[in-house]
Amino acid sequence: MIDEDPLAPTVGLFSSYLPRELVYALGCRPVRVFPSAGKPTAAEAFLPRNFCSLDRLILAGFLEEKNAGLDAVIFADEDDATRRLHDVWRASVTVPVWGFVEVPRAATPLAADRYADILARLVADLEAHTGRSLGAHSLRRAIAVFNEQRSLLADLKRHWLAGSVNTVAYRRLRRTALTQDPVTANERLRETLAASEGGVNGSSDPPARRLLLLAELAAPAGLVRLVEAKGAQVVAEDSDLDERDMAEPVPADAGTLTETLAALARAYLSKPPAPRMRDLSRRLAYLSRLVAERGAQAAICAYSKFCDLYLAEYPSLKAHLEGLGVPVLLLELEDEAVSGQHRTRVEAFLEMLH
Amino acid sequence: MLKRITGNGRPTRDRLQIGALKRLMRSRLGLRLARAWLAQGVATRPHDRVVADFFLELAARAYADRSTPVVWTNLFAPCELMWGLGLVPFYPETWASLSAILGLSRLGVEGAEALGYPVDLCTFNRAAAGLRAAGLYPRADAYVATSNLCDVTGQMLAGFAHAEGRPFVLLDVPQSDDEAAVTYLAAQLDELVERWAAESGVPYDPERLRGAIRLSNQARALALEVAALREAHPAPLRGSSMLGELGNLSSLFGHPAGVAYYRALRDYTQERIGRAEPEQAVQKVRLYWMHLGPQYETDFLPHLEDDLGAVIAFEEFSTVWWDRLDEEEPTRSLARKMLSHPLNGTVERRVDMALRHVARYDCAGAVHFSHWGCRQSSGALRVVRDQLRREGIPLLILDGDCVDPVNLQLGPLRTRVEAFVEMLV
Ligand code: SF4
Repeated sequence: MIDEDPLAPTVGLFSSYLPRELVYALGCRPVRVFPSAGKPTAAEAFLPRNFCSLDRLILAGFLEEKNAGLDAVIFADEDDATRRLHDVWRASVTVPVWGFVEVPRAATPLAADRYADILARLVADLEAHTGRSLGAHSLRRAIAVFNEQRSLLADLKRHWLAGSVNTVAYRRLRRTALTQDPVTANERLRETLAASEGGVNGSSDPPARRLLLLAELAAPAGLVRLVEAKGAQVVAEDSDLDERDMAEPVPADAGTLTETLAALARAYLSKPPAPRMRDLSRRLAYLSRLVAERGAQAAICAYSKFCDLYLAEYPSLKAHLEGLGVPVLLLELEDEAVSGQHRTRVEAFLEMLH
Repeated sequence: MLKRITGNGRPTRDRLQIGALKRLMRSRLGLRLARAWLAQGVATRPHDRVVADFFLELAARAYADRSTPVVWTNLFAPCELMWGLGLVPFYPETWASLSAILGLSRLGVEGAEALGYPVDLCTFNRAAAGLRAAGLYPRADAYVATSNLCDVTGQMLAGFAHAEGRPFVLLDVPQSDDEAAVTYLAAQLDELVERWAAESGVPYDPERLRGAIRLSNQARALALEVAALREAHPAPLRGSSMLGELGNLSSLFGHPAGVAYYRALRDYTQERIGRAEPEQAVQKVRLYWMHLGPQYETDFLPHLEDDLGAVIAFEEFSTVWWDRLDEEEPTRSLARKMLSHPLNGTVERRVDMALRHVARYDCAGAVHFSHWGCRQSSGALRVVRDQLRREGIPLLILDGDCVDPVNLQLGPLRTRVEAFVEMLV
């Protein structure tokens, strides 16, 4: 493990189904790839204009900044867009690809066995790239670090829902957890939790309209600011940043490397499902639970334009949530900015909830 | 028959017409009328008649006959398995193509919009969703989709299954094609077989599955002969008439109609070559066609072929890419077939196939018809173009829509193909 080694390679991950523990245990700093470009302009020469705008933004960032601080990336077989981005990446970006991981799309024993095998192959590839070798002990230590992070994030969520941490700070810390080395991120989480202890918000404002946000990687910060400025309260976010991040501790206290990889495989495939799993029953059941637990009264799907898996799921999701009495607004976003037109639609939607 | 859409027509149909069509499709009489209509105008060549009969028979079983379970599936699931299990497969995308031929795709696309399908999704799927909602698609007893090559169809089928409380099976198709991937996919196919036997009420008969594999192999051998005959100069077939081959490739194998179709096509092609009578009289330059083409009536393809003399010598989706299937290991060899699809895996596989076909069919250039909303085919075109260019093969990328005529900008398309063909000639 790196324990803040400044020379540790920083490895960008493209999916919430990729176990960060494994990369960390091999002495690398695993970070989730977020878009860094404001506009997708730089990607226009490489990807069609009607290609997932999140992927276009990510590619644009790397084309503008060359390596965007990364030493390597690991792709996952998420969808058609990621597969094609992987093709284009290898032809246009200088950051090397250390893996294309075929994450299965089921939580069955068959899929978990397959994923454990794939992770073993990823380990072999990473060992070749890093020159290190992975043992069961160091993998378990890495899992313990991330399990601690999960527990800290769960505390943080409790504080946020109780009102002692505001949404902007909550989301910033969640992003820190995904983009910094876990030891540093855990330290920051502990500090924040200590500072917010006992500080539950006793506001006498009228109860806000409670919103569920849905996004791929993360809802844009501008949208969160907008809805909260308009008197609504974000109470849950179905995204890789928040609810779909692995929240349950991975049980790996003992066992061989193979057994520990199998535990990781099972845990990651069983986390709250993303649309890539095409498991609508499980996904809608999880969203129903989220709505009920948090008392969400409305939902905003802040999806990237041309993001097929999410957009093709949308009619089912809308019908389901509306069936629960939760009205839904769909925004198809070109970039991180919330345009004037989107702002107007959000305002009208929130008005309607009165 | 309903009025056909050509060019940029925007038809609106009243409910009476749709209601009448729904009833007609579910009756034997309607299917007989359709057969007579096809025989008169559309299906004039012997192999076209085989396919027309096949799809009408399929329609009869899916719409009118309730004795066999109907499984909705996407184009990349193995049809041999469906036939081998005694099920009737229904392909919403193929039927969306047929709806485009009949001028009904706009109805579907508009219907999908009302259901909340965003307008940037592939129109094959949007048309399918709208036509289903209009009651113009048959019932489904279950749904099966593959995870590769098309996200939208699988997601849409999962949604339909959920809404109807029907079973949905996702075949998780790896991108690699090593033995571990074959084992994983074959195990899913085995599970599917077991599940159908338990749930569909149609008992599993291994001999029927072996029979389907045998038929598939026979059709494959004939299809390979057709592919070899198409090397001829001048090209015996009009390429525009082959742009719907994907529908055949995905549904005919494992069914007797597959053997009949490829035999008729082989004989017809041979005969054209023997008589020195190519379907397309003027042939100036040979092209390799990538992805699909407009399924509705349009002046675009006749302009390319007849006015400009460009020949579509071979199409990406006419490729018989898989090895002979093994009757003794049906699910394992079907898994291999699925995994070896040239569009599965990285784009280099697709480029390799393009290079082989361009050389084999002596093409001077390639055309990619980029169907609106199809990310899998268009996403890495920059890489395809660069790699073909490195080998001296120019690629023309045309933006259009296979299903919705409203999205075909004829003027700019004509200008671009004219310039491309002029450069090649
Ligand atoms: S054209 Fe592309 S997106 Fe549309 S159904 Fe076919 S593979 Fe899917």
